[in-house]
Amino acid sequence: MGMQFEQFSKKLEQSNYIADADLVTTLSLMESLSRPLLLEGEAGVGKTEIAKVLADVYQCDLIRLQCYEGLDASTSVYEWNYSHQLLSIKMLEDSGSSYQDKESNIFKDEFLLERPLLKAIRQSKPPVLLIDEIDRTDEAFEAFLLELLSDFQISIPELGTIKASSIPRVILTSNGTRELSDALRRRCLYHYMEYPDYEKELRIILTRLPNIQQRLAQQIATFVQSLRKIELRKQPGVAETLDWARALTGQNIEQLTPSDFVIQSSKSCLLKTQDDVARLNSSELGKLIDNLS
Amino acid sequence: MVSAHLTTRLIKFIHLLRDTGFNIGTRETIDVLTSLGDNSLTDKKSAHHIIRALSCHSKLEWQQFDSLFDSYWLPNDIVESFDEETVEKPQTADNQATGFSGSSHEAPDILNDISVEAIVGAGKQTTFSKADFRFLNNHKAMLEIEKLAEQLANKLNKRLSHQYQIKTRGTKIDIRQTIRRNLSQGGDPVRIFYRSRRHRPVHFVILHDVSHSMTWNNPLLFRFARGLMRTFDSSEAFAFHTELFKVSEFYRESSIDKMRRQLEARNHLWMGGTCIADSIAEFNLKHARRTLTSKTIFLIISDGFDTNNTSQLINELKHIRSKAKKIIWLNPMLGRKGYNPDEHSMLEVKPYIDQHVPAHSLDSLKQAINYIAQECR
Repeated sequence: MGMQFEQFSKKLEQSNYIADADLVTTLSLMESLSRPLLLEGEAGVGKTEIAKVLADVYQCDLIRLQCYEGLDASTSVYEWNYSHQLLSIKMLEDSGSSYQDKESNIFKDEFLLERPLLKAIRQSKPPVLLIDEIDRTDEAFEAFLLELLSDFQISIPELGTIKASSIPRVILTSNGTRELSDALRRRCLYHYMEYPDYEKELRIILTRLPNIQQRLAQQIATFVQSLRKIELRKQPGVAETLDWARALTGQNIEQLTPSDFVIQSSKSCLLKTQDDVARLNSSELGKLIDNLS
Repeated sequence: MVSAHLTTRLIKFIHLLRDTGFNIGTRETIDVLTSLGDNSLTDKKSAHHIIRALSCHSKLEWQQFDSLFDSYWLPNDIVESFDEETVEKPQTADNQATGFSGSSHEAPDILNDISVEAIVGAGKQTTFSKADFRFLNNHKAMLEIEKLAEQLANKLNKRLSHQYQIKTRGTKIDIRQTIRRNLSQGGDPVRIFYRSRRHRPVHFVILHDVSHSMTWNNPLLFRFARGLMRTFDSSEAFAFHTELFKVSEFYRESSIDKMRRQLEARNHLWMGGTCIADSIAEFNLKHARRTLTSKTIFLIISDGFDTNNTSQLINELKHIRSKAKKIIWLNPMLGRKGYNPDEHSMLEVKPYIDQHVPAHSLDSLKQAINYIAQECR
């Protein structure tokens, strides 16, 4: 790994994020090429967390746009403050000013309500812009994003084109529930995130929960790794692993024993659907617990 | 700075990726060369990561990249000088999969062999969404595609609620309508008008064929029907083979496993034949008066293979047509090669239904959603 990448990896680690070499490379390229990054992967692998960590590493703001079906420009880019505009029109009525003056008076910055995307390109210090779960939006919004992602500018009909005063570090995440357009993909660097392997998961637990006993951390990592091999509807992600580890350390548990009822009672931290709870019956759970010893 | 020799080989590698189906333009090529030049390379791994980050745009490409990279660069290390040599394009299974763009009839084995992740993940999802349900044998892939089918049904509700209406109360002012409707006041905004989403109640009655001939299609079509039932509260669902039974409450069950168990327990003639006309007659006799209204969309999910007389089926459909708004027939056989509805009883039935649409893949279900959305307007 090059020096530059090694340093960046250390910075991420200082912010409690354990990243693989390939992710470190991609994040470095994102910075050097000023390109957005599209992160795909199962829920719970740490996609959103990267944006938070980057904001911490670069000591800048994190601006988040949570996507949903029906998201439009007025909730993501800008909206005119209509009630203030109407009020202003009324006040200008008797001023005797010309039509052009009135128009220029009501379409100005003062009446513009900034939403996350516009806010992100108007910052003096480049922020981290997280466009979370882009696959939840519809195609129209995705097309709207293209201008921002390629030229870092937004066109407002009444004001013209607003160019970015600083290029934000854009992270888009997707869970793959819908196919994204090739146009959007072409504008971004791409990284696919997998669930961590045993070693990485153990490092994550030890980094995030420094007070945890080494043996317990190993057992948790082993248990979650074997749980992911079972066909569950919702595989436990890193967040679930950490929740479980926190729950166990909160009860001052230092080690799991094969007959431990604690696993039974705390499995709700890992299993999130009724079907999965039913699937992981006592005998199945018993096998997993036996592997811990 | 990348040497001229290495530049040539890199460009050849990018051409190889492009030939394999990767969507790489000139910009990516320049970025690869610039980034490799800027980051003084000490190992092959870093070069691998840089090229992958810049050339992949989907999960499928991401998965294919490693084998392509290794087969191209393995004989010589990327950070050393290279000898000019002819690069043979590796013909891996992955390559074949990328080139595969038709329906699963053309290459069902490829679909079965492809990893679960390739099917369920993003990326070339459009290709796999064309996959025929019958050839998706992988259990995990089936579960995921079932989930997608249910989500698709949920989307119908969102599509229908995308229409707007103007109201005198609300939270979002419609400036255009406010000005337009205040023209009589000389343009003064005396009355403010608001915009809100229109929610039209949609009422479905679903008749789902669960006979032997539908076995391959039903796991996914169940999820699709379940999605509709859970989204549109007032809807009713019935399953039939040689007899009819109500399944609305099973479809509304929050646990899918429980739904399956209940359906299996109820449907003791699961693998039997099909009496579509008899079943619809039973529906007309016992349930039509209570469930059908002039706004009902009557959805039949069946392959159309019927042991009853076609004229009987036509009579029963005529009765439904007089009571319901539309009849839509989702037929999993319709999109498949070798099936011609004009050669079967469906030819005679077609004039008595409003839409006869295929339902053999996710894409065809998406189309079906479009038809239904049009009919609901």
